[in-house]
Amino acid sequence: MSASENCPAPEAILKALAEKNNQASVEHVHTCLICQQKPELQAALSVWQLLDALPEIQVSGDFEARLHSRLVKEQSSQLRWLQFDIWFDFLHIPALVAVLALLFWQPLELPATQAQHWRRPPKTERIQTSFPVKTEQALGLIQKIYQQRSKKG
Amino acid sequence: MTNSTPNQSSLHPPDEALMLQVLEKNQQAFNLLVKRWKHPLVNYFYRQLGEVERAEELAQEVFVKVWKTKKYQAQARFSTWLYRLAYHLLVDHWRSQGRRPTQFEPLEDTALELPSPAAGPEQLALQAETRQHLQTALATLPVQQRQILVLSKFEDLKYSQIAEIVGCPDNQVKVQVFRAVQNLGKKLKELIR
Repeated sequence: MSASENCPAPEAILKALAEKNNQASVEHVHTCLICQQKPELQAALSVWQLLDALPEIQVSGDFEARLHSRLVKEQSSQLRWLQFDIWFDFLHIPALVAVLALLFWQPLELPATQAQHWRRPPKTERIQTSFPVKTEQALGLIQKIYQQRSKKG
Repeated sequence: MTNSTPNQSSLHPPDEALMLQVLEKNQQAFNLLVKRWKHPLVNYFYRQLGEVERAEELAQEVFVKVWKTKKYQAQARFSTWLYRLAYHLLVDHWRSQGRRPTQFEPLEDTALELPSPAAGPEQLALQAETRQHLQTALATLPVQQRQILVLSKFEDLKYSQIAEIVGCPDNQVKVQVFRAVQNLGKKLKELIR
């Protein structure tokens, strides 16, 4: 096995530098003549070192105060939603009734002249069979009353 | 940056323990976490965006998420979890900004942490020039490469943690860091010519 095969890969050396744990491979680079003649590795190491020149900024003095006022604002908006929730709890029964009414309401597909207004579409008929009130009978009665009235003129 | 360990005394409780208290809306624990992490977080954002004000704004957004969260699991390392929040926030920010190139704003001396006050004017000028070139070159890197490079170089994170933050295999981090350094080197050569 040649010496270069024992040399760690550049990726592994950067990893060791970043994690500051594998000092053996870092020391190897400093002592190994083969590694010192690899332009790719040497360039990478110089750039890595050069990155230390990047500036570090100071956090502004009012950072924490601004953060706390932001949190207070967020909490108050959350409270507004909570109040809305209370109102929704209070209004949930009328809202449920409205939703049910919308579910049952369905325009007929027949033209107005042929429409049998006492007949509900099949979907609602199926739903209504489970109701305790026999709506079919009630509707039949209303139909009879209408027919009698129309005969009378 | 202080990476806490479980052996720290009760005066310096580990981040993970503090975070568990934050889940119970303990304001003191939250303040302590902010004090520990505001500097690394703001600098993390600054190195990617080049704007001090925006960097602070995003760091604050991370802390708001920390305060509001209910999802933290004590098994996870706090630093990994925190940087994951920061990473996703940055990705969202870039998405909302489109492909606008990063431009580092010139810093006032008050915002900088000057490393060597004994340096002469020539040395300071050279440092400023190097810094400028580095920032310009860094801004040209693909977004994910830049993120991975900053996380590995400045945030004291293991590659496995970075992989968890970014959501890619460990090996990919290794390759991306090397490529980022190579690309940065090439760009710097172009700038210095």
